[in-house]
Amino acid sequence: MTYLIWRLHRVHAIAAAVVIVAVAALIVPTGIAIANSYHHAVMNCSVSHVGCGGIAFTVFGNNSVFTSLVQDLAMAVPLVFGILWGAPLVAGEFEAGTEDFAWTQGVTRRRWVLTNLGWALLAAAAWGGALAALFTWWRGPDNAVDGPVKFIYFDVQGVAPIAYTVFAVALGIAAGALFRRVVPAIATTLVAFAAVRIVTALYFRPLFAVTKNVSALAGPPPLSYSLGQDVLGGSNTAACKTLRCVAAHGAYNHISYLPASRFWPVQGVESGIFLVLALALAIFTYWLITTREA
Amino acid sequence: MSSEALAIETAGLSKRYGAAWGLQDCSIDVPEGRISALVGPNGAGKTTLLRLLMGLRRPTSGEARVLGRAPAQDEDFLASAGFLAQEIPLYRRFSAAGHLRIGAHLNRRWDAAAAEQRLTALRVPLDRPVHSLSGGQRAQVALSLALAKRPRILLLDEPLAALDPLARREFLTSLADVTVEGDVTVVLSSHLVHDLERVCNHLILLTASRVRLCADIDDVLGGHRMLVGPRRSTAELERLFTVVKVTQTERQSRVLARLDGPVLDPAWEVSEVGLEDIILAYMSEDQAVAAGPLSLAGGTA
Repeated sequence: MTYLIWRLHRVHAIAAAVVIVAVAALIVPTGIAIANSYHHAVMNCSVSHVGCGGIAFTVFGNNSVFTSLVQDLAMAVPLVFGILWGAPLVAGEFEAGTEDFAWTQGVTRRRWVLTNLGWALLAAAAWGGALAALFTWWRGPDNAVDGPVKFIYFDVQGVAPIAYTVFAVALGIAAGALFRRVVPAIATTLVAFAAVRIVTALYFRPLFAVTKNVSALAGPPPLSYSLGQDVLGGSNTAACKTLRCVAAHGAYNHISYLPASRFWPVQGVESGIFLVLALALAIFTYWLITTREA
Repeated sequence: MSSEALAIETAGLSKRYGAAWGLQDCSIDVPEGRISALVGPNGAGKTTLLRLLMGLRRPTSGEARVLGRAPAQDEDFLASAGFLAQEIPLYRRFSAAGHLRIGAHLNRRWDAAAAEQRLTALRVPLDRPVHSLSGGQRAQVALSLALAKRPRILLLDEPLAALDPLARREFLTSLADVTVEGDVTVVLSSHLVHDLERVCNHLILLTASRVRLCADIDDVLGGHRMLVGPRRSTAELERLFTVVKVTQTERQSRVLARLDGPVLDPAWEVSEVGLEDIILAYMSEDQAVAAGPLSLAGGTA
């Protein structure tokens, strides 16, 4: 069974490896350049106290279009795997009618679906992991300046992208097993993946935020991801023209933020959620393949 | 006949798709070693029956036994049954040799050498992607793959449909050769009656999702007669025999009937009738069935 999967998908596997090498060729040199520029800026700041306030701009200002492009690319990686690997895996067999060949050999459908799922999800984890490792390394200097927890920064590094990729591929396979057509499977993968990612990133992740009141003059700590601030309280603040004045009248800043220290716990929880969803989709696929008629 | 082991045995096998019946109350016996022609118009239920026998679909009611057991998703059953689907499914980009290597990994019993020999003898290129082969060559590749399992039962769904007459003849010749060699039971569906008569020795006739005939072809030929006589009512005949089809002209009555005994009335001239005519008579009678009940010819003749 593994031999059949290898024969059917080795072109995809090799193509994906080539893409990884291409991505590495793109971001390794630029990543080194950015890291050098960062160390240079930090050194200047500590030795001659020059440009300390503007390290972020010095390092990233000139590359902002490129860096956001790389991050958009990294954001899209799991979805691309879901669409190109996941969706056609089962649906493609049905469209070509080859399930009639595969399912009438000496291998049960049970084994067919389990081996397919196993290798596809393993490959998703491996390739998604390789890309996540590259992007994580690439983000090193930016993490030191901007922190790792902002939306998009958080989403392209660490272990979460691996879980997103496994989920996207499981979703594509399940949609393909359900519709038995490639195009509806791709459309479903696209919509459902985007929906789940947006809901978790925008509504679930903020549940881990720290909410507290600080001085009206203070804000969220450095490297954290601010989710909202509100200057509240105080009396007769209407006449104030400066924050200092507002603070003197007893107002405080009600802030909500995701601290950089919660990067790994939140990564762990989100990864867990997406892996559980992927497992549920895999079980759904198993059920569809073994019980539905051919 | 009852002493023969049965390769296929179904009882009340039925399959419904929504409101429509794909197969209704199908009870057939096919003894081992037969090459059975599964014949019927398009949509009569041939594909449904074959897929039920292969375990690719589940019956709505009734049961099927193939080689003494219910078709199931287990390796023993899958190893004993070969199947060729209507669309001749193969992986387009792979060659015949590639398919043979895949088959070797998917089956515990696999006779690649025999398959290669067959295909080489038929001058089917082994190393070219199957999408570049002709329809006849692809069908031969698919048949070779089904045979490489060394199945005890071989279910072929319309393998001739896409083939030109020469390829059809070659395919049937290969099939005949194979069945001479081993003890394999074959069910071969087609609406091309004429081609099947050369290689098949058993007939299953389906019309409108019901079984009309299931018997050895010799028995079918022996049991049916054409009765020709001056124009008259056929009520008497219908009381005695199973009348399949009546054609009334101005002066003549022509009756195709299944006889259970001699025709005693000397007014009828009794003659033998060919398989194709018998099958066509059943198929055209099909319209009459919708109008009212008629003695069905289910079960063995």
